[in-house]
Amino acid sequence: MKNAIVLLASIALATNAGAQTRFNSQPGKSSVKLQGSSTFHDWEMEGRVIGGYFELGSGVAIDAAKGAITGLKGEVLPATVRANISLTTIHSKAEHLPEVMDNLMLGYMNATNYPTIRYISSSLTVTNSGPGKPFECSATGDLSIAGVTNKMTFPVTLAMPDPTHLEAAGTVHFKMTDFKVSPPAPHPLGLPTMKCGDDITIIFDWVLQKR
Amino acid sequence: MNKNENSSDFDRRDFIKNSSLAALMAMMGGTELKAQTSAPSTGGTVYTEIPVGPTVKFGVIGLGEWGREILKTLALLPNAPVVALCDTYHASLQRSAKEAPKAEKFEDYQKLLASKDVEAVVIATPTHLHKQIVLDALAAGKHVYCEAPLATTVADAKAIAAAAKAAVKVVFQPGLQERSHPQRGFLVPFIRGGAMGQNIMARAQWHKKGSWRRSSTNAEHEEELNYRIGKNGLGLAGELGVHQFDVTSWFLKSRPTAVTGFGSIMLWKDGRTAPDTVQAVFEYPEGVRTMYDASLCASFENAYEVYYGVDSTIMVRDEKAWLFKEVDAALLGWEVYARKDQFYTETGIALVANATKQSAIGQSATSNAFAYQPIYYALASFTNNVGIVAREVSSYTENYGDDLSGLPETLSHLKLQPAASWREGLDATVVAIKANEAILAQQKVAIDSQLFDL
Repeated sequence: MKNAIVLLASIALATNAGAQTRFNSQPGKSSVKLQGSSTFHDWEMEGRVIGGYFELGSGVAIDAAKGAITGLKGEVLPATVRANISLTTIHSKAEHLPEVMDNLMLGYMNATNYPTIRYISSSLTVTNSGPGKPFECSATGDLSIAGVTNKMTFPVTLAMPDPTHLEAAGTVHFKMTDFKVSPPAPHPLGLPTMKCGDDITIIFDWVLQKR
Repeated sequence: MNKNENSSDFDRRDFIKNSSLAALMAMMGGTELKAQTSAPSTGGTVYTEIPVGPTVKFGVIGLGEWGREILKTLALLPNAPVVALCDTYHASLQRSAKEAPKAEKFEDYQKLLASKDVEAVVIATPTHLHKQIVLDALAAGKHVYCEAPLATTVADAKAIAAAAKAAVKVVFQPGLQERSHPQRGFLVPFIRGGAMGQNIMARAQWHKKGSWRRSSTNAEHEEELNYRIGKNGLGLAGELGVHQFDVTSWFLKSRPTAVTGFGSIMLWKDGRTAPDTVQAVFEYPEGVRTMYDASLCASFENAYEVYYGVDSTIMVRDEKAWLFKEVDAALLGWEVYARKDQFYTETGIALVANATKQSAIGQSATSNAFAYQPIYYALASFTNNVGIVAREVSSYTENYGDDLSGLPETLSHLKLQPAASWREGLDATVVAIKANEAILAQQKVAIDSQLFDL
């Protein structure tokens, strides 16, 4: 679907030389999933609010139809990217008592003191591109969770379904303990201890619109 | 708003999925089909399946008998402090202050709404006074729990529903408390899912001997107190029947198209205009009819509902329910493990919500499964949902500012506690108004589908 949208987009985004092009998060369009495992079953949480912006450097222009970006510095896309996700907007997908899981997560993530997951990009390298296809990139930046910041590199795809919208999608793998978060081990409803696995996957689909 | 519009919806596929799991569990444990409860038990153990969410500060407007019951119920919730009270009658205000001694007192609801400390309001004034208060409360950005029925006219009910729908940043919940009750939610699969076969009819009653008349040394206040039996109220069917009408429509997943009513003043000939005994027959699509009767003249059999199907009948009373099978109905996988109760010559299969917890706390399965009245679950759901929605809205506006275009979509993904929305509030109020109209006119009244439109 995403590819089809990109194929239909034949108008290149032309930016004025010397001017930056800023895209802000579009309300109600984005999603972020947190996936993990436990001794009972795999679990998933989902949020629908991603804040922040994606700013293309001056002179950068994306032509989605041609799969071309002008203004690259080597393979690096000059861009400033900041994303943030409030922990209170991430909710358990559990059928039963999802609020209990939400509160559990907020507690283990020390949400009172660190209510937001933050990401600040330091480089975005285009690794593959082609006409009508999303641009494949490698993103490196600082990911801050629960007050701990780690430099992470992960694959991202950039798509431009039309000249006013940008979609960044990707998957990030890490361990809770990398951020000094202990894997939760609650006692749900008097049942044996449910111990969560250390590995976490974040899957995001971030939709932005031109300011 | 329609954040929780479908929170109480259910279809046959869900039933098959869930009943299979339930049957498996029954086979493993040899126990009945059970639902979980959110009620603290009488045995001292507190179950918190309605999780304690963020604290929500309440104002209560209208402090008559029911308003004081609401105050007592809010006091049971650990996260619902009452910070403001309002009633135009000073004596009521003073009396209610005992239930919420720290609350600020107002005789003008506008001043209560102006208080930044108040996050949510419960409106328990006489029905005909709801509209302006609800509209002002929503405009002030307050979350609103408005008692049912919403209004005494369809125009007022639509105005309330329209304002609630437009107020995307706040929760609006009509006081259709059965929508939040675990027992009722537990029954939906049985009513909807095919265990009864084709629905053919239903019957509901509410019998309680008592005048409904309230007295006061202030004549004007006495008239206000007695709005339910005077010209300003919707009478027995409207003011009380609205809850059972709502449940019937919910279970049947349908709306009535006409109602024929009868009413008489049989005992309480004290100058009232509202009948003390009423009957109503509702016509639903496909030939299904439901019967309702209510009386202030006799208490026999109190209140209950019966849903008849070609394969079985379900009776609901005292927050409990039983399934009575027809002799030619197929065996249900789980029924052999279920408890049976005898009713004269009939055997009822218990559909007991909360029995798991009862076992855990040593209660017999025949005792009342729930420690609290339905209003407890409704206010607990409201408080929980307000906390969740307010938190989400706060994060949303923090990130997106005043652009609310994506808010309904964002909120639609939240898992909220079961509760009625403006939609059910409007539907039930329209039915209640038309039922009262039919009863007063002693005739059949059409319920045009456009009455439900917004």
